[in-house]
Amino acid sequence: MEKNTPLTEALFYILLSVRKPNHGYGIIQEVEKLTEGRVTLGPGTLYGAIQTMTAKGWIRIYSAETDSRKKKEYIITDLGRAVFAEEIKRLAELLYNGQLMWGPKAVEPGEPGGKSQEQS
Amino acid sequence: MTKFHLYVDKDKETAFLNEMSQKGYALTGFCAGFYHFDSCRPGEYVYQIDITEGMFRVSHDYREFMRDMDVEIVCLWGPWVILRKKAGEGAFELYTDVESNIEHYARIKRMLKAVAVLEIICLFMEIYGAIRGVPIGWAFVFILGAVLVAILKELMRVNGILTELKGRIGSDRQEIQSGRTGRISGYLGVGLFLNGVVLMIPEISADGQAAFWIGFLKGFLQVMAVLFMVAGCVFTWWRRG
Repeated sequence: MEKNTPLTEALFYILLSVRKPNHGYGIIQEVEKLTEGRVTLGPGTLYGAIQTMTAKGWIRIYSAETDSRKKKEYIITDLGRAVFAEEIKRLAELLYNGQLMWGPKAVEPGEPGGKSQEQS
Repeated sequence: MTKFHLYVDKDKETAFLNEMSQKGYALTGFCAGFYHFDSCRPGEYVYQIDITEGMFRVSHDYREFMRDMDVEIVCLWGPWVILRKKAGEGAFELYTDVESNIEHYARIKRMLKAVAVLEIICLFMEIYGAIRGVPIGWAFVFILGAVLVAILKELMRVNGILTELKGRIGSDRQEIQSGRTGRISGYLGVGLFLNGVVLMIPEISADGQAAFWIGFLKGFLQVMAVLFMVAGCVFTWWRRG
């Protein structure tokens, strides 16, 4: 496989959002929800990403219904899943090695670098 | 209401359209510098301008996608697409990350470069005409020259944006690899050489046909020299900036 990683944040979250059939608006909303509003996708950014990933064969149009008035839906392909898995492997390595910063023990919630779950 | 404006800077044009919308005027049409507005509730629409690969048309995919996004295609002009969305339906910004902004501005840069080359060709033809004594030839040369300067200025602005964006994701390595940094452009050398050639042409007192052709050759070379020197300075400046 050609070198596709690291994925941009936009590509990463779009791939994640089309693990089941999803349309443009649905992708934007899901990404916003997953990142608590940190990542918002503009229509231009999303359109470009969908065109690129369709051309690369990472996603395809999901055409269970042929009603043209319905919003077009997209779904991830096997190739897309492979690229995504590759990226997760890379990210896991980063996260694992990143923990060296705080010594050999694993990062616990609430520590720097870990996601804080505590209430203040 | 119709307003006339000439914008080379797409970002300024967007700001102008949104300002008009804030004042209660929504753009409904555009043709060759004439902006046609209908009244709307102040701030009803948010406008954005996109650039596509086609001229005066967008793909069926693009049209369908924007419709699904509740984005309205107001009009097409050359490679430009003017879009709007009701402000009440949430924020409207076309490009929201660095990578897609780089792609967007790179596309604008390619288009500006193509237009600049066409302009230079037209300018030469007009200069030739003006020297041959075509009436108001020099007026056209002046207008084309002014347009060319505006396009080159915009190219520099877009280039600056691209450099800044690429710096943010650390992808300016390519330019260093290809040795584009910190060198003086070859155009400058060509310009200076041509200028030297012009200075070396002796003054010959001839009359009739011969005088015309010597004058024409000198004028042509001088213009070439100036263009190359300007291009040389601009490109050198880019590389340093």
